[in-house]
Amino acid sequence: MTRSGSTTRRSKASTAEELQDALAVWESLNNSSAVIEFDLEGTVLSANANFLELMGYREDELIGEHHSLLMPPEETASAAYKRFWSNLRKGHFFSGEFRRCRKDGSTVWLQASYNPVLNSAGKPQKIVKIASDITAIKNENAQQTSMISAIERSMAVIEFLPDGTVLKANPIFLALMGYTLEEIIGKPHRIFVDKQEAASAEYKQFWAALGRGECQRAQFKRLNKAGETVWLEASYNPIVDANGKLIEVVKFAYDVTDTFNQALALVGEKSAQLEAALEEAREAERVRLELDRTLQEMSTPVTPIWEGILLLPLVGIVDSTRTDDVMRKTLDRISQTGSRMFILDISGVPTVDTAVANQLIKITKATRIMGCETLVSGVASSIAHTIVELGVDISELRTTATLRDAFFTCLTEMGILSVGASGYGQPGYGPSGYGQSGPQQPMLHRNSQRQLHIH
Amino acid sequence: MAGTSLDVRTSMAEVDGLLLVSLPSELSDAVLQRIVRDVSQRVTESGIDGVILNLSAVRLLDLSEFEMVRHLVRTNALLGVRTVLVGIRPGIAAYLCEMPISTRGLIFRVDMAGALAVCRPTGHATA
Repeated sequence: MTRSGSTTRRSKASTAEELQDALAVWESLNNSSAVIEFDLEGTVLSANANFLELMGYREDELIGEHHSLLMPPEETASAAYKRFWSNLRKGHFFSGEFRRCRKDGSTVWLQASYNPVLNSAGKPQKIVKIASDITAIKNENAQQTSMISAIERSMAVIEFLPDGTVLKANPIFLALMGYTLEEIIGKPHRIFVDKQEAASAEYKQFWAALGRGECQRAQFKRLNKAGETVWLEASYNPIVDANGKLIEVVKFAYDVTDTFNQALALVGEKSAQLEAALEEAREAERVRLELDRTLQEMSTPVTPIWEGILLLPLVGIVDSTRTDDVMRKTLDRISQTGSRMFILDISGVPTVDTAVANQLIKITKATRIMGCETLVSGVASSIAHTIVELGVDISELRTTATLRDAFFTCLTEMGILSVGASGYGQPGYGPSGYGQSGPQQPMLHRNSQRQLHIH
Repeated sequence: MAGTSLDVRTSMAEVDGLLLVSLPSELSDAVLQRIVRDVSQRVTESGIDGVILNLSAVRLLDLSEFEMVRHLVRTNALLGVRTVLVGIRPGIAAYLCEMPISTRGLIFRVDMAGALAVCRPTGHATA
């Protein structure tokens, strides 16, 4: 008895505790969830604040109304809806995601359970519905699903295991690479790359990086079933589960082969343009050289001024390049014209240094070897002083002060101008004229020219 | 060999007491020696009073070859015969003027007319 009494006492105590416990659970559920009670016909008996807030009704608007008020209108007349309530009445329990309508007509998704409450006889007495709002999650899921399907519709998608084994691929990928699904499932990713690349260290690193969860995005060179190159603008995306464990790799890809080839063609075109530009530059260079040559030609205008007499009026700064040019041009002109006298007029030359004086001597010597006598005319007094001061041996040079003197000398020596018996003896340019007795000539000539002048 | 090339390539003509010698375009020491010897021989044998050496065909003339020509001119001068060098090309002239040579005693003329005028001072005036 004692035993039973104690048992009874204990059971009474536990019943009280259980009741206390159940009330506490109910209280917390009531606080956290939307709760509504219906009678067996579906008429609302009560609704808690959470439910009213969720559905946008006031309590008095809902009490006494039928459950169908909360349903999307198109579903209330359905057989499924009727069956739903008849099952509830029989004491069946329902749980799931349900679509319901707020007072303002907007849709709300509820994670809910319909719990028939049984009386002591085990008969359903009323229905308690406990619901929570999952609209946001539902919408997000729907959005993600449609995004994924949009991607699937527009891009080539293929999924791999972390080791590179093909799990699945969408039709776009299959069409792009020329495979059927059966041909690639279970095959390694290697089949899409050439052997050389598959064996490379880069390729190993590529999969190792994916294994570490690093996304890879680039333009990849891949091979289709026929072994032709396909360029893919692609991203390899590691997919992890809720624990962060890598479960697969998804690759999204665009075919950029055409773009790539166009780019290559463009590069070709660019290089053609470059070639054209280079050609232009070369042309410009040719023109420049031509101009230079013309300018040079103009700077050394070796001109025949009389039968057998060449004149070169030298103007400006004279350097060794220019005297070389003068030499070359002069000798050529002598050869062309068969001239016997050459007048180099330096009245336009501001200064003459040792180097230039020596060059002039060289020119004289060279023309003499060709059989043409050079007269340097227009030697300004300042230049004459300089030459003397520099100590240049000008015994080989024949000089005159003015061009007029030089021209006069030429005409005389060639016998064009008769000056009688003065200075030279025989008219014409006889053996005594120059060459043989060259060294003593300059002073002599200057004297005789002065004499001629007086005449 | 030298004799053959001389016959073929070197023309030597005597006109009115003048010996006209045209040097071949390709000169060698041997050829030039042969020419020098032949010219000296002609000068001493016949009554020649002037030699005209036509160098207008000569493309290259180095220093030693020039010295041989000079030697010939001097030799002729000793024999009382005036020698005129005609038609030296610009390239050779440009080269020789750079060389340490003396042109003293040498008569150069640009063309044959000039050379003839030297040799016949009173006969022909310049053209």
